Amino acid sequence: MPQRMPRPDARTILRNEALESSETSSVLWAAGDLLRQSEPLGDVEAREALARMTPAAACGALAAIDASVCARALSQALESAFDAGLEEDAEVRERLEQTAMDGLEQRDVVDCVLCAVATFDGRADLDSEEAASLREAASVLRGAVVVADAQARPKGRSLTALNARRRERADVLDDVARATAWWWSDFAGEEHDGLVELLGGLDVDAGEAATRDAVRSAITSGRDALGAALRVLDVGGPAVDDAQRWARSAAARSEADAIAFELSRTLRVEAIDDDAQTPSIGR
Amino acid sequence: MAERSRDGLAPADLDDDALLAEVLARRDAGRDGREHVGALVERWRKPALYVIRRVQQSYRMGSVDDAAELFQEAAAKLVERGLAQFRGGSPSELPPEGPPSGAAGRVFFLRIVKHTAIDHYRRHHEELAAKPGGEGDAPETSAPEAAVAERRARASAARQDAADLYWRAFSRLRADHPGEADAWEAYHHLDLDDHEACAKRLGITVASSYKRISRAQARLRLILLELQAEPGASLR
Repeated sequence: MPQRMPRPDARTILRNEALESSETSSVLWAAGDLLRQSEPLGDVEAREALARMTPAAACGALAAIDASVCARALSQALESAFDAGLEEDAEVRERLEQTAMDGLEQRDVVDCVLCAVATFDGRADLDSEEAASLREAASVLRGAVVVADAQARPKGRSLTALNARRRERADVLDDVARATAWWWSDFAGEEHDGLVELLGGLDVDAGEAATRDAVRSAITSGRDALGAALRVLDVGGPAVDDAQRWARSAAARSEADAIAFELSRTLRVEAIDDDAQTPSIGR
Repeated sequence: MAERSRDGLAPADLDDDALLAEVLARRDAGRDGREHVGALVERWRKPALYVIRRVQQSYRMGSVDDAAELFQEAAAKLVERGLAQFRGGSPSELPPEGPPSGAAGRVFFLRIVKHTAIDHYRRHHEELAAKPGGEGDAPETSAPEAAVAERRARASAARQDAADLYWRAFSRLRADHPGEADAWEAYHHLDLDDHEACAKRLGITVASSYKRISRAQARLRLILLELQAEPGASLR
């Protein structure tokens, strides 16, 4: 995986590449970084750098990227962002935010490389075999990051603690890149600011959408949770032990709940046949 | 006149498997399937009434009229929310491959019946217990009261959805962050409701108890939002 570089160095990298002092992977990242921006300030340099690259070098750079590292970086970023949201010490929060941003930058690097390779693939001088190899390598990488994204993206609300920094990164991208780069753009609007803090019970001035989310995620009361526990016991699944323990504790506190818990254990609907005799009511 | 299936058959001509398949197909296509659902649940009326009477027997309350109403309430739940959940599939309710069978549908419906009845009588039992006069002096139900009861039933259904999501969220919290789940469970599920008691039970400091429960709360709520966003989630 190419090393992350600070964004302002992208053009410097390409100039160094002209002096043959930069690695292919870094050139791909820097070129992709410039090509994705809304202002086409570095387009010419990016295309010139890609024109000098050999297809074999581009394929090698793609194959060297380990998508599992990217997946771990995303997971760590989500965790650090969550921690940052609930951290009240400003210095510690700053460190956590930076750790989270570093993780997101690793995902961004892969996107930059794929963007650069797509441009490279458009070169007129590529023969069909070279083009096919390049597309295959890009397709394998793209497939791997799709899996990583599918695991991480649903948890994107954890990133709201980084919103000010994420907006800075999203703002320089063109529309297509911004839509792809969910790690910068999902829930990044000011209306989502303060969500993690709000959900953790901190006193913050949260955005409108964050406030709505807080209402939607209000945790159900224990009374309703017994009904849920009894259904979990019926259906099975990973929460059965939790449900059983909880239902037992509820049953110990209330006669109505105790009857419900007993019924959940003894009244198995799978065993009831169509000729079951209706019992009489005991009162 | 009875609406016919894609094969030109009336509901009465279809076996349970075919009728359930027709119900699901109509639901997926946005077509009216009430007649078919009605025909299907009618076939399961006898075991459903058995389930309700067993619940009534345990709570020592209820009547034949109650049983009929609860059967209708369960059928309405099947239409309003259950079919989507059934289609989405719970591992123990769906065959490993192929369309859901009529037998699986029957079990699914009887579970709705069972929990509808349990929730109803659990609530009623507590209401009676809370009244100064105790059991047996409830007035006859007037029309406004019936409307209130209906609203309560709807609210109860919504609460059940929320509770289902809650347990799924808690299960995920336990898998990913067991320490925080333990603290949450001690504080909220086991009703310790006190950080000192919670800290003592878990062998942690009081400050850690505060921190873990705050984090558990934020995580649970984030997971709930994730689950609500999943396709087929019934709570919005």
